Amino acid sequence: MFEMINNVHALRVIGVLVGGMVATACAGPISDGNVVRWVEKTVAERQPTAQDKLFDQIAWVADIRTAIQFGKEYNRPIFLYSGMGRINTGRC
Amino acid sequence: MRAGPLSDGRVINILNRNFVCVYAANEDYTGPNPLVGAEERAELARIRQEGYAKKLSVGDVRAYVLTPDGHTHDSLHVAAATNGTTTLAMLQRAIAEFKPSPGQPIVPPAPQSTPPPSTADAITLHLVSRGDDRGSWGDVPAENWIVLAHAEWLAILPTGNVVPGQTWEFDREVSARILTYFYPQTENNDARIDRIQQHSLTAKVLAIKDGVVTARVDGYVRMQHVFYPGRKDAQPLGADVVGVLTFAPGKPPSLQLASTQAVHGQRPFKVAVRTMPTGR
Repeated sequence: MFEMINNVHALRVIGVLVGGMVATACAGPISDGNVVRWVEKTVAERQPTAQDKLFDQIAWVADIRTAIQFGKEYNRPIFLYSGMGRINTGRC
Repeated sequence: MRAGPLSDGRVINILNRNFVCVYAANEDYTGPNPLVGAEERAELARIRQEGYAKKLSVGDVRAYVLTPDGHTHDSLHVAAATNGTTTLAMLQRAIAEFKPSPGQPIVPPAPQSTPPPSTADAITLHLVSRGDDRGSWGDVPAENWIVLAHAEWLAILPTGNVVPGQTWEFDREVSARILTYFYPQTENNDARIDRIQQHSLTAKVLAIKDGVVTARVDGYVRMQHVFYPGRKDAQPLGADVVGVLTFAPGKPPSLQLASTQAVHGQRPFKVAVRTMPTGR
């Protein structure tokens, strides 16, 4: 069993390494003549999409005390999400 | 949670029309150097205490409904809350209980990942990092904002006359400040630069036209990064980087970087960095 797990682990490592080599092969080496176009295109492609930013469509207020103030003022219940990391930047 | 119910149009609609919405990052409220003040910390502590008293699900990662005057009414563990139907049901129970008048959002929805304040002569870099995997950690890209003060961006530029083919290495502290965020979405976000074992960003002038220098950038970072906060099981991380730097003498530069290959442990990921336009 241990040997099988080791083999699976080894295959995963090889897979990642091969994947990395393929990725590098696809990306370059990027020549001086192509680098500006490649970087601009790649950076643009990696920006967050509209789907990634649906979270921004929610009307978030700044903090809990502000939420309670508005809750009283508008007689609305309060939705509070508390979590690890920063949900607004995806670092969570 | 963000990629699930908090990106679900049904949930977004019901929240905006009936609720006041707020989120809290635990690390801002706890630890030796909390970012929020004592009164704000006390409110989150009270909400949790009230949840315990009502035998609700209480813990680090939860979705709560509070009464309009701020008392804990209902809650969901994140594992349950990520199911949009379960979250919708909790919200609908609250509407039935409190009968708010549906209307416009309390405040205009706005981008939640925004650059920090900076001085007029600083430049701000926006970094996006995303694992190649999807689902759970891989669903929403991670973002960072890196502000380089005037002295810092000067330190990535060459001194003296610039000629085609000229090469130089960026100031190593400044390049570390950028490359330290080259990691995929992980629960641990300790981005201290002492995780870095090797790194470099070097530039080579490709062209000079009308006083504007265009240089290619090549570099890499090798470091150890822990997935979960507080753990000791750091995994090796390596990223190779290509970019473009443009600048004119005395003017703030524009920098774009993209990883060509990047792996944390066994998880491939991709990073992009770009300078945000000035005059925002």
